[in-house]
Amino acid sequence: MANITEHIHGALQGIIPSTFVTCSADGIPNVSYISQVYYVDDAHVALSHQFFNKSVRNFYENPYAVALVIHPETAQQWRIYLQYSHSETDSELFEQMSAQLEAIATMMGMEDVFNLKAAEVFEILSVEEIQ
Amino acid sequence: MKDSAFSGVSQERLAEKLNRKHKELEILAEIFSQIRTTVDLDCILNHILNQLDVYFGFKYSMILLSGNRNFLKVVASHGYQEKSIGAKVEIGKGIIGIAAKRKKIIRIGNINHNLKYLVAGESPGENLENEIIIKLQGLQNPQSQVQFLS
Repeated sequence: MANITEHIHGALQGIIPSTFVTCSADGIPNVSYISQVYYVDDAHVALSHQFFNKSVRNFYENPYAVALVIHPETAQQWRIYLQYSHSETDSELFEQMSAQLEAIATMMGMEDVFNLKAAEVFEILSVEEIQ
Repeated sequence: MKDSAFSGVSQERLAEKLNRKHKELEILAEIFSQIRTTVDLDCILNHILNQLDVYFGFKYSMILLSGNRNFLKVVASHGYQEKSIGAKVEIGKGIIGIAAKRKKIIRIGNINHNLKYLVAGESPGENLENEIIIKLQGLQNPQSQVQFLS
């Protein structure tokens, strides 16, 4: 099991959007930009699921994904190879992520539109530093 | 061999955690010793914000306490040009209001980016349930007309 080291934490703060790559069961890739890859623990990260979009559909049917994260101070990049583990809808992690989303949404008066459906938890398979 | 290597890493991490806890206690002790020097509430609050700057690098900070009804009131401020003492925040609105309502620490790295994301995410294309399929004009399969030359 791969670990998130301390110097990657800065890349998981949502300062610079991350690239997230998934692939459907029939082999069609999808690349999208996501606001934040959330640190859960040294072996797991989470993504917020607000809409049922292509990325969500893909990792539900094919659990393998890759996130490219960038450190905002050093521009250092890492590829994090992931495997979808489970969805959380009633946990401390979910509460933390939904509080963050609600806080931003209330600033725009959009709290009724943007609700967190789930915190999607991924196991980290490996971490590759991009040289 | 593998076990002993793993155990080495674990011990290193444990030592690191212990070291960090020890440092945290030192900082807390220092903050409390500063606070104890006065009984004036404004001084105590300002001491807290100063120490947050010194030890954690929080250059801009404020303390809000619950006021009348559903509002929080700014009672101390640090780093901001305008102190905003007395300004009110509605509980349940914005980052401060939601942190108070949910009693959670909220940390948002890039507020402007998140706001833009919400506006972009509101468009129907983001939601697969409302996906709009744009038909290509002309050819059904454009690649069928492409000749690959070897």
